[in-house]
Amino acid sequence: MNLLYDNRTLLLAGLGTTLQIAVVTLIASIVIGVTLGVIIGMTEGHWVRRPIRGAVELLRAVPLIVNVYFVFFVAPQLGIALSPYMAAVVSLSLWGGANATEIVRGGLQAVPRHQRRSARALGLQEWEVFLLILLPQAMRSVLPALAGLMTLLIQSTATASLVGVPEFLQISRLIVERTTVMDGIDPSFGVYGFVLLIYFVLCSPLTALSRALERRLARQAGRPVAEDAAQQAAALPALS
Amino acid sequence: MEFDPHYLFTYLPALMRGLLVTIEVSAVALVLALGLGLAGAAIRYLAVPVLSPLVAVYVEFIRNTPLLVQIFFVYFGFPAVGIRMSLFWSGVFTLAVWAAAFHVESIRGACAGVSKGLSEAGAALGLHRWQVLRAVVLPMALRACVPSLLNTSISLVKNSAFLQAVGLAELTFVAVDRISADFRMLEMFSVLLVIYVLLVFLLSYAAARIESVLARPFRA
Amino acid sequence: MTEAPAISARGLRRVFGNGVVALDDVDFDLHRGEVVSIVGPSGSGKSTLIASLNGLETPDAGEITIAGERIPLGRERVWRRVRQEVGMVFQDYALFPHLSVLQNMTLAPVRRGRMRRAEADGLAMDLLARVGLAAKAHARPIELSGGQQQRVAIVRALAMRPKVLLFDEPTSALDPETIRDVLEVMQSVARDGMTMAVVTHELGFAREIADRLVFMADGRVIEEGRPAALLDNPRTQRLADFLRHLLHR
Repeated sequence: MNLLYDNRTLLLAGLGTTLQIAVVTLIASIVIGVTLGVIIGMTEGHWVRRPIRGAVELLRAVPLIVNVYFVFFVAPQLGIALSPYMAAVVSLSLWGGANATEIVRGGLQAVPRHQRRSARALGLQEWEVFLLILLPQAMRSVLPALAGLMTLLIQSTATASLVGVPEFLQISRLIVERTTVMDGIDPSFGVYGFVLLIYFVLCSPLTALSRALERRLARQAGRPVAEDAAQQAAALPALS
Repeated sequence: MEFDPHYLFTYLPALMRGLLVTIEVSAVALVLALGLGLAGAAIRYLAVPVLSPLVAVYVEFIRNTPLLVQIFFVYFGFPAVGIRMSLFWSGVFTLAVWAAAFHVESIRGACAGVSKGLSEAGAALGLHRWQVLRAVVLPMALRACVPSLLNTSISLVKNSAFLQAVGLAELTFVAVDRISADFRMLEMFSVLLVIYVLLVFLLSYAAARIESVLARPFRA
Repeated sequence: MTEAPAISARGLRRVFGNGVVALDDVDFDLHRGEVVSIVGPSGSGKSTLIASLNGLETPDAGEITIAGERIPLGRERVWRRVRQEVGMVFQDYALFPHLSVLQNMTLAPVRRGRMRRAEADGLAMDLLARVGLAAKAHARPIELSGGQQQRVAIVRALAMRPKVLLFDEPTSALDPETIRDVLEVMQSVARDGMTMAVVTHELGFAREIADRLVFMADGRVIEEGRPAALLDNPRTQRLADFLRHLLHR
């Protein structure tokens, strides 16, 4: 549509911001997730697990929107000046990190107990058992799930529009509002439809990658693929 | 910034009204989603021509696009082409369509997981494929995917908060509205936190109970 | 004249969280070059006993002495050192699925610094050849049958050149045809003079290969002695009942 073409620079800028936020939050999420996931996974029965798990569960129980608003409103109260962009990045990273932690923890837990036992029986040290035996096997479910998380993070950047960050959705909203007010026609259907299409184009390769990874890694280890698909289907929706 | 209980009590009724809206929207959408999901999964399982690939595209589309944008598309875009729905129903519709996409995948996966032997036995008795589905595959598959279905449902309740972006006076909307006016965020966010955590715990607990009741016939 | 036993355990006690008594004042000796077979009904504590001998299970009370050295219970670092001398083979073989057969075998010896890569490879290949699986050296465990995996698990433990080898129901998860192959490997290991303690249901193995049979039930040692003597003339009703059940399966 002409409208979209006329505003292409604006839209591209918005898209750029979206991707920027997605990449930054993905990196932050992976760092948080791996660190905390490993801590939780490797310290059985240690007291340090409980507060971490509590925080993770809290971040996941609360809707993402509430998360974003919370950081946006509360940070200035605590004396931290955060631009809307930074507020969005921080809250999305926390949320993504909480989900990544669950992914890593789940992946480690899915490794059969006897793997750890027989590795110990050979006299390997705890860190060797973890790095050489548990982690490689955990990757089988962790990597596809992380690819899935990336998809979700790209989608969650849309939430940043609610605090005014000029990312893709927000730019589109402004275009719609301006056109409605100034030209009297309502381009919502076309514009928002276009936005959906762009997200689809961005995310579906990642979803396909996630599935391909899952199949390939499952085949390598020789475990049946069906149970992983069911597990995957169970894991992803919960990530909202 | 101290906690002012008086402020909280003044606005508790408004918050409770918001919570009610959240529950209403979620409950209706939940039921609709399950129905849609079941229908979609059946269509995919039976490989109904024309419909089956359409459902597949629908599922892929919903899962790869943000719910927030879907909400905008339905609430603003539909009226622009002549489809008018109230705010409430537009919200219900969007949430149901969103959750149903996940349900289709969960149920379909569970159906595929039911052992071939069972569906072959059904077919050997001379039943149509859809009869086998109804009588043999679905009862077993549904038990297997109940955890996923319940998980998605809990996500649906949480994601109903997105509807505040188009003005639905649900819980988060009321809270944020108050915060923008009075800036008493400690009280508001505490309440939000507590309510959502309670909600999720309650739902998770109910889900666990449902799962164990369903699993009973299979335990020795 | 009699040297210290390879492993000596006294007064082992272990009660699980749910109140189940797994070990009730158990004494156990394993002498150099001896092959001991441990049998008993499930829940008799035999798995707990054998797992206590390399520290994978920690008894609540008791003393364990390995080659004359008293090993403090629960001291993971010390037990890790012990595990280089006391190897273990499990019921579910537990080969590492992401490594090849050869890598499975050389991982521990190289990481523990016992030998260099080349030497470990050489030893591994020799051991694999011994059990007829040299051709599978670069295969992944998933490509092997259960019996083949278990044989690899045995030589994986042997690659550490342990002084003692413990077995926890090594054949319980296998098809009847493959059980014989695995038992043959265990037999040849025994004939080479390895000190072995084997928890098993295979009474044939006990009769022909073991020097001593230990019968456990309810966390205690009920009878022990020469296999033929116990199997043909059980002194207690408990053992007689157990044998009757086992043989009538």
